[in-house]
Amino acid sequence: MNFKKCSIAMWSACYLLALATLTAAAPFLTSYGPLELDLSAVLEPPSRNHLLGTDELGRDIWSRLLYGGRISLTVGFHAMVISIGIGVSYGALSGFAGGLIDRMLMRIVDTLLSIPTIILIIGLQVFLPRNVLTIILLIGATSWMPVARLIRTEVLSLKGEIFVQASAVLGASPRHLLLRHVLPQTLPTIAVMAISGISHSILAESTLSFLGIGIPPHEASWGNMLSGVQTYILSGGWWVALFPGLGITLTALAVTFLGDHFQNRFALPQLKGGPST
Amino acid sequence: MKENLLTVKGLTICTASSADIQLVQNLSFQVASGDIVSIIGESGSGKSLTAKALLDLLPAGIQRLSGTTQFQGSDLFSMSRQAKRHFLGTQVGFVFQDTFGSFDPMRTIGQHFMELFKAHSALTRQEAKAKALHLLREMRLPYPERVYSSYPDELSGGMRQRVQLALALALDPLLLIADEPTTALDPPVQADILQLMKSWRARTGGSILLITHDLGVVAEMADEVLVMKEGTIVESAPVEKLFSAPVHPHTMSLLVHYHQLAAAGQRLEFEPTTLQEPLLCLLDASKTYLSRRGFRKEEIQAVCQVTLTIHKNEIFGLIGESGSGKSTLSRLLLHLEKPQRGTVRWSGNMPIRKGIQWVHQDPIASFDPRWSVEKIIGEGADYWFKGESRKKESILAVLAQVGLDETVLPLFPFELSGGMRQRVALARALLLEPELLVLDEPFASLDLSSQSKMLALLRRINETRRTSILFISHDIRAALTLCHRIAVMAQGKIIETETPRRLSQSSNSETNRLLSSTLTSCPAESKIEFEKKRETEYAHST
Repeated sequence: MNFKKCSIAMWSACYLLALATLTAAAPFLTSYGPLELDLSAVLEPPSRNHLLGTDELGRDIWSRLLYGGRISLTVGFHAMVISIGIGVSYGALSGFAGGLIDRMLMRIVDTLLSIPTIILIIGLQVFLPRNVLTIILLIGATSWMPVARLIRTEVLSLKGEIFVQASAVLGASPRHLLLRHVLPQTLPTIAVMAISGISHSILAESTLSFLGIGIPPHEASWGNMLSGVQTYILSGGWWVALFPGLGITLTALAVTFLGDHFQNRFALPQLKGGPST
Repeated sequence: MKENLLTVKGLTICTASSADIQLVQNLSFQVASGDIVSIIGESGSGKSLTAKALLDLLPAGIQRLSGTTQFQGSDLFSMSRQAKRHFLGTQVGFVFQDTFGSFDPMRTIGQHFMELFKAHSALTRQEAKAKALHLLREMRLPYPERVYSSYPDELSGGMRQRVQLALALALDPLLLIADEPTTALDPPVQADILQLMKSWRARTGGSILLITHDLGVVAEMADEVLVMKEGTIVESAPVEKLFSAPVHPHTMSLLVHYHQLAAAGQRLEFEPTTLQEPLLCLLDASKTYLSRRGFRKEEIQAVCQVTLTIHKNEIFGLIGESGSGKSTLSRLLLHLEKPQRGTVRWSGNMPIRKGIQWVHQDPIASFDPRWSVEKIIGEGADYWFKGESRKKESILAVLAQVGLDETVLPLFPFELSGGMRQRVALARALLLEPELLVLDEPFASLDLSSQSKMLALLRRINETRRTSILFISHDIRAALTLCHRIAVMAQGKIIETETPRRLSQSSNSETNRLLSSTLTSCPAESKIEFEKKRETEYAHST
């Protein structure tokens, strides 16, 4: 494997690994709790005492960044798993079954897609307790439709491929056809969707928290660290928004680069490391 | 003594990376004016590269090392690019095998003519159109006006080849270079195109450099023949002399393979004595497809009230031109589709999915691109010999049977040559020891020598394993040598079913049309050459 080609993916992997380690080791790396108020040290710039400064309630930003990273990564990863899980199985079923079942399943997707996600989540939140698990479920349950559509299209065209029919002639059952021949061909698509799903979920969590309807304010997350800090940026408190913003951006970027790498890994054998051009 | 129109001296072509890898070595030949000179050779012998070098169209990574080309007294290779382009454009016409790739899919045929006349002539638009229509009419295209305003994908392969020829001859060239002009076409269309080229020569006195792998085409067309092998000319002789008294052993072996296939009618030792009990029956089956044209729906009758029976231990041939419904019929027999009317009855001892096995005409498309050869061949065993430990042994056994060894097992399909893919596909089908093998154009991607090996292999399988074979092809000669009974198909119907001996004396006009086109065809030859080229390129880059 070409090192140069690999290096950006390597850096991304290193960054994500470091982030995971730091967030996991948060209690040992911070001298303040993420929720600890200190009204005598409000909006202090970065100093030896507070590494990245404090916010409008005197909470330590370094500490909140690490604890908040835990939640953002958890939400990002788990919501993606839910979204890919539902999307791939729904899409594969619909495409492989074809006919009337396919048409019915796809009309349901169309209907769901026609409702704006944010409004859907606000509506659903009325009935649900407000915590991290709810946010994960909500983001996962509202983002699988594009995955299902894409996978369904691929399965539909793969089903007609000659190698799939050749395998049917060899005696493969429909289950075999789907699991051994059709779905593996969609792996590159799934990898890309999964990766973009992670950054989408992290961003969705931030958006919801920024709007004040995501992670409850008493828990730190990158999104609700950004919530309501516009006024302080204007009055010179750049550190309040910069660090959580950087966290979100870098993480989304790293995940995307890693996704490109995996797309190559799952590509067809003839496209992998072929003749260098 | 005729004067020489084209003289090539010492042409050597090598790869860009190394002058030692010479794909064409020290090639010299002449084309006299008014002559048809044919270069013949198997795929990979460098014949297409020679033509491309003359036209300055060598692919990237391959270059001309040395050699001179005199065309009408001026040296082609020493001209400036600009001058050469104009010179080639007006004096030399060319036709390639690929009838689709040589057109711009976004432009109509008329626009192609306009571009040509604009670049190389001073005709007005009206004159240009009139001339284009005249040329199309000369190529005996029905409805020239309609062709003129069509897009390339709206024409059939044969029509596109006629248009390509019309374009090549539009500026009254002195030399026509034709690289496998008929290889991708059905036999009757092949004969038409060759006839058109001949009549152009008779009319204008132009010369033709004809590149082909098909001795039938050579016999039909050429005055002079150059036999190429591995980049050099091994023999050069007038056509009668080449066929009557070949000198070089390679020429002799080409002729032997050619006569084996061409003289099919005389080698009919396979007359069946009695037919055994039926294995697979098709009773009065019909299949139609719906095709949408705009808002209108059209019904296409692919198979129309066909009744046929394949018996045990029989080699049954199904012959017809492309589009005659052979493939649909095979899909019905394979139970991949259901007929709308009629029934398909399987009376084998095994379950259908084990008893009937299939070798598709395009083997690479029938392999899972993510699977290694070992997994591909062994797939059937996963479904039918579950929990048995004989998978590996049986894979090795079928590999030996088709003439491959275990070195191919870890490879992926794209790493195999066309002939090897065909063998792997056959090995996969043989693994389950089926009662019926359905072979769809099994010779499509093989050159002559591999074809006769494959014929022998099929015959052996039929004799030793008592396997029935359904042989689907448009190549009537191969069918005559191999099959016990042959059904001729046209427009979705079976026209007649006969033994080869009686078929070759048939009075049916459709059968005779297929029989009279005595040229072989290997439509996929360009593919083989492309793969070989890619393999060499790959070898050089790593």
